[in-house]
Amino acid sequence: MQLSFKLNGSATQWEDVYPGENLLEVLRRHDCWEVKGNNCTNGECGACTILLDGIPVPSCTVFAARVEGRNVDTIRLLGDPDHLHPLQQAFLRHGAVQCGYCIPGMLLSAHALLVRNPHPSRDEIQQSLSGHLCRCTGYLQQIEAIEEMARLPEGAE
Amino acid sequence: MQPNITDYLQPKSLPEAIALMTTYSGRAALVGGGLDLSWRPRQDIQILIGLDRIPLSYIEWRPEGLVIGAGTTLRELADSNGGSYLNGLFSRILDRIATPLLRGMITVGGALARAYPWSDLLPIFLGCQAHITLFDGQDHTIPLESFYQGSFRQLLKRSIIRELYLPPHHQSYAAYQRFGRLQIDIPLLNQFSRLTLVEEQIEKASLWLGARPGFPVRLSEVEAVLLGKPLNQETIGAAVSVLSPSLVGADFRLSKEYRHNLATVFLRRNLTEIWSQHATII
Amino acid sequence: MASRTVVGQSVDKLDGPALVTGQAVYTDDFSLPGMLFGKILWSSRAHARIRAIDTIAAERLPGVRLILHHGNVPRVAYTTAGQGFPEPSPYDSFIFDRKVRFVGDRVAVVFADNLIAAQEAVGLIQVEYEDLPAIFQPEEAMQPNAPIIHDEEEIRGAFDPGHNLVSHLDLKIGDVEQSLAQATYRAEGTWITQFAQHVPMETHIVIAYLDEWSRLVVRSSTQVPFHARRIISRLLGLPIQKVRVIKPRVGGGFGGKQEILLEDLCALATLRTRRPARIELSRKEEFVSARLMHPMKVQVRLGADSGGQLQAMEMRVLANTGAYGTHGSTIFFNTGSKTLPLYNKAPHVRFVGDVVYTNLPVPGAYRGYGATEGYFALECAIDQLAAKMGMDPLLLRRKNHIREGETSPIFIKLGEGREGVDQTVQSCGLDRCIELGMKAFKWDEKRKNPRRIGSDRVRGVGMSILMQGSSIPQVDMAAANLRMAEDGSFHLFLGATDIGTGSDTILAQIAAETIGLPTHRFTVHSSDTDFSPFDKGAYASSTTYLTGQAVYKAALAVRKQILSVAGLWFEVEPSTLEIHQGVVFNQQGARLTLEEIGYRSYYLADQQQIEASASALSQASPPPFSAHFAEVEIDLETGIVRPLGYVVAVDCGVAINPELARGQILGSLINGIGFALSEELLFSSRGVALNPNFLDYKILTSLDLPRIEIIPVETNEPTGPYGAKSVGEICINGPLPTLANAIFDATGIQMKEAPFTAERVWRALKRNE
Repeated sequence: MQLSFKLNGSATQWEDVYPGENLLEVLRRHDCWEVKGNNCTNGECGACTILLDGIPVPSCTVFAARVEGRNVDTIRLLGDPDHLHPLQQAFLRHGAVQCGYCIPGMLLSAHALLVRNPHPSRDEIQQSLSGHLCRCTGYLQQIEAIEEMARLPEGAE
Repeated sequence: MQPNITDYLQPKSLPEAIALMTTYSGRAALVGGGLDLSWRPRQDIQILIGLDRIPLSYIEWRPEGLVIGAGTTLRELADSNGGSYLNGLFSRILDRIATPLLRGMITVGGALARAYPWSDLLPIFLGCQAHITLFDGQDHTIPLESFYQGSFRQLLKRSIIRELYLPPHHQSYAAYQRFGRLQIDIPLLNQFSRLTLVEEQIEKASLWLGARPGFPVRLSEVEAVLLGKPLNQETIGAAVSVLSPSLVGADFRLSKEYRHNLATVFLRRNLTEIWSQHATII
Repeated sequence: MASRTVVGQSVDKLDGPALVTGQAVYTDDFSLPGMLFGKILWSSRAHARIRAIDTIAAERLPGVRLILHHGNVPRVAYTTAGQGFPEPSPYDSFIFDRKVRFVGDRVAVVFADNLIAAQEAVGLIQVEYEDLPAIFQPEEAMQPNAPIIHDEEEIRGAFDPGHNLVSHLDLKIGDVEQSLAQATYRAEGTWITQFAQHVPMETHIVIAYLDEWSRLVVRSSTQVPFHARRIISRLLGLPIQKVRVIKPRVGGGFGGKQEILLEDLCALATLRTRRPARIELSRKEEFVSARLMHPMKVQVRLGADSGGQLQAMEMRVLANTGAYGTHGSTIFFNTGSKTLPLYNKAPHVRFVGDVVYTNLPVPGAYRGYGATEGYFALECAIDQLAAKMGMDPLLLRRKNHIREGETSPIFIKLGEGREGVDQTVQSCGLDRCIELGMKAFKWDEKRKNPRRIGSDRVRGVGMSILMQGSSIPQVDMAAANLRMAEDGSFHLFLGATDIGTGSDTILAQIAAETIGLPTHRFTVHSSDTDFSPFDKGAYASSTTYLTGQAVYKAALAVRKQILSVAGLWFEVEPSTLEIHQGVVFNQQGARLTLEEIGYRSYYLADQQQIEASASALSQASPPPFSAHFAEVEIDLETGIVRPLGYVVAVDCGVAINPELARGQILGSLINGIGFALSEELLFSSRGVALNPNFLDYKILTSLDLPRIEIIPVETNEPTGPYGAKSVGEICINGPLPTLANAIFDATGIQMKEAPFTAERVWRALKRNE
């Protein structure tokens, strides 16, 4: 079937989508390697998180057909290696990135939080990350990175 | 990838959806958020009927109470002022369900239809005397308690949940406790208590025990001990003592004995919490 | 000490920009035309012979290209353990055997054009099993008439397969029995640990293919590329020259990827079909058919004199190594070798134990490598001893722990599955770890507080001290090649395996400091067996310490060459020159950039390629040290344990990159807290895993964090690059005893079985009433 939607702001049309496919499979099949994940289809680790109309959801749980006419954003929304978003820079500065597998997903959740609430409390930050499992880091450095962003004045991001 | 799916249909209205369900009866499944079908693919399903295009995502305060469209996600519910229901308890409970990512996927209708025994929402909805509206060509509104007492899965094969309403809760107080192995977990036992007090007497009581590990059950015997009595340490003690061990069971997660312990502790703590809420108001 | 410009700085990771933007850097971010997808058929029986395998229906399914099973693969006994050759693990595995030994063991594999076809074909394979009696408890497996799990004639290197024993040891120093009998104070107990899984966010995955020269290329999420190459070569009868193993970015390993688990299957498929072949484990398969942590029963007996000096220590281990013995004996030896030297002055020591096969999923290497289980027992026994003496457990430790300049008889007696190597501890900040940790934690003050809070809660405090090691002496070897380009930048070739730890960056920092230029001027190429010099791989906390030495040596040599070229140009002695920030200065302040030197060396005068190689063989395993402190609150009615605060002081020598070191400490700590509170893989009475998923195998999330304070304690390790030791494993061993000791302090109950779930604590409280 055909799928028409906006991917990172660009109008996108794919012809070869199966009705029974999930969004993670479809994205990676079309070389969107930036969406990581083992396709567990349970959405429990959060690594495959994308923004669907701005809301972070695990792409392995979303039937691809559902995104027809909607906005899907991957980590490319934030930047590229030569133009890192301040949030990405903060993650690096605070040592929050070890193996990196959970990081694009976490960054999207953090970004969605800061868009909604530029000055979240530590509790709110911890909540926003709680759908993301990470085995390398222990979460504290990500929390500190987001806190640094939360302390910035309005419009600085 | 679920290879047996041949079509993903997106009707724009409930009548259109019902017509599709009739046409493809036995081969079709409804998709709200789609989480459940993603977790548990079904070999017998070829047609998916997505409900996204039907305007079922709304939260309104009407005379009958807080009305929640079946397509509303838990995240939308938590973000709205619907969370203020039950003096903010609802919002606090919503924040503990699943994870923030899954709350963006779980719809109220999906949660009601799936009715997992470990649901956080069911004991609360039941305890608040929620009413559910089903559409099968016409709307039918029934108490949620009756819905689950009947063969609801059969009913859902030919009707679609439109909305849920939670009646206003004047003069009632509520409390909720759940047990999880870590902060993020399904509840392995939960207890919801709601009491209406009139002139220091317990006029109404709605007490539910869920994740037992079975489906939520009303604690009628406990309610009977409370009705018409004042809320104090003595009545709380009497109430807790009739909570029967037969109401809970074992699974590989928790033993029966420990579940019963949790049930009595949670009941006591909830009733005590309500007691102190009431005392504060006075 | 000269001031340092790079070492000791929290330089951003070199692969950081790629990781935070989701670049295609992991094994699966890669596809080749015609790639085959593999799915494995796993055993549904705990112990059975395979009488017949019928693949006819499966083969007929459209898209199915190859089905492998014991009837059509080479039969070569090997170990899946990624260790130096000759491996100290038994050769008790086959690609496919005629027998299955646990629910989840390999039976067959299907390769098809797509995953759906492969999965469907797996379901069509008919297997006729002849069930054999299965055993799940090590005690039962050791009984004289127990069924023999490894009765194959080809098995090598197991201690006594006829009694299901992978390893056995009884090491005696002095006379423990007599000393215990005479001791004024004694402590004794048996501590039990659970099955746990590494839970890497990226599961095991391999893609194999033939390159344009018909060489086999294996792309693998591995910690041990060189061991993988050697084992693939041997298993498949392919010369090592024809095999290339590439490790892309890895999504976490933690020991679980110190194994060769899928490479053989993908390689075989590629060789037979000439098509690329991919296998990725699902999350459930990762839990059941990958690797786990060894559950152990560790009995400790301690004896002390009236002054509180430890006189006797006995540690008795019963380890369950599941259906295969990978890492079984080395982990067991480590349980003693990384714990007992901590209390080096006890003259009477006994370390004894057995490692036993059972029909369960397979434990292997796990961060901590046996020390986790040993410390749980030892550090809890110490607290028990302190309680009997009425002494502050901190003081008891202070009286007895190893100090700088000291040695332990254990070092030479206990190595990796064999005798060890003698060493003297040349850097030890443990006393300062204890001092600074207790102050930050307010140990004395908290111990004076009442334990009871309100009617239904209690609080308590606990501590533990730890040591680990840095590399395996006289076994581990690592090497580095460093080559300058004409722009003055460098290519650093390492076998060292960065699995997220940041070793690429840390090693570049060492080179940068040594030569005198910023870290970002290094391009690091790691873990491609065609281009990298040898490295044993990412395990034994060895990369910074050992590969760092090789990098240092190579960098020194390169620096010498640069100064020699610059000396010719300036017409002065090279010893009068210095390099800062990539510029060579003479004594008059005249400058030559590395770029100018580069161009000159490539094209203009005194032409040569400025480069050097160096190897390092580990001579010692200098231990890092740590002191852990925790406060817990326990809900007496539910048994729920809540860690309130945690202080960790760590001596890892000099931290080359403090923020990365902090990341290692935090990550291992949170994993250890998971062992203490919630992580446990459970099995039915028939050996079926009950919770191989995230719903029921609970790891900590961001909401479970206590307040954590980390205190770095710097020492200078003379044998380590810039004074560095290691930090990758040590802290995972702290939470089990620290939290158990805090629960002991709060309630008077010693939790002897991990994890300390609410129900377990509640039952212990009830028994105590």
